[in-house]
Amino acid sequence: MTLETFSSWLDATPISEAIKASGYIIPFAQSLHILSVAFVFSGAALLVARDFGRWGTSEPLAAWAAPLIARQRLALAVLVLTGAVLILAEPTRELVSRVLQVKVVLVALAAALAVPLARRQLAGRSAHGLSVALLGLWGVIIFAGRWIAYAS
Amino acid sequence: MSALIDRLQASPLTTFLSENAYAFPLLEIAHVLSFSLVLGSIFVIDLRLTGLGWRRWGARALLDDLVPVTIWAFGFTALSGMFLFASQPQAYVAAWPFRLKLVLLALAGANALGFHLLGADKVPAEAGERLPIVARVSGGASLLLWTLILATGRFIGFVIVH
Repeated sequence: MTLETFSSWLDATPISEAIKASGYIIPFAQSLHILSVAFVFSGAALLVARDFGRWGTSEPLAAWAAPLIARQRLALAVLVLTGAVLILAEPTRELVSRVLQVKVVLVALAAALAVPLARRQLAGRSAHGLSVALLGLWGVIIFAGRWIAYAS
Repeated sequence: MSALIDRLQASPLTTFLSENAYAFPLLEIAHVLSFSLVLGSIFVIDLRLTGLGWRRWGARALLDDLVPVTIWAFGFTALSGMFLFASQPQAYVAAWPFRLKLVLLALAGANALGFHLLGADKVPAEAGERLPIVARVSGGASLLLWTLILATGRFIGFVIVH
């Protein structure tokens, strides 16, 4: 089964039809998707700033890392869930989009990079290169997320 | 006001922003990036003020660390938002989500100013101390207002097509 036939099949499923028929599921899912991206990106940005000692120095790195990373993990779960809803809403446009495919790979890469970074930061050890790489990756993911609409 | 919008619509800036293939998408991405920082920082403050989260942290320290981040990020968000508006000023003025978003932004600004004038100096430094009612109400209002600002911003994309 090719990606085109799979997306056409998905497009005709009752759940995809229901999402398309509702006027509110798509904007609601998009708003939640943006909110979760905001939590992940802002958490990464604050932790980079703290990692370099340019912000939040009244508290140690590990103290900031614990609540921000917990929030990022929850937000990442919501991001994936709402992303799946948005793909189901328009599978024939989304799944075949090269930009979306790149975005999915980058999200997986960001999630993988976040594991060793979280381990270091929760232990109070800075990781300049890794934290900047992750922030840059989330910036590119946001870029790709918006570009899907313009590329298709 | 209408004449001003018409003049802006006819300006070279609007022509450039609406005709260049990359200007609007790049501005929109800058807007989303900076708005992410606004939301990410202000929600921490609001959750702490309402007592819904970050309760092990002293509210005073959180305010001192995060308010400057919110203000800087909001400055970039507002600037990129003005350029987005300039791409199709007549369409934005006519769009209900945009008008509602402006009202919500004004309310969020009034809420933040009210908190600054009435409650900010009463916020205790220690984590365990109870926050004044004005801080809790202001935090709750801010959570609601910024969530609605996000949603109305998203709805603009359904009303105005680029």
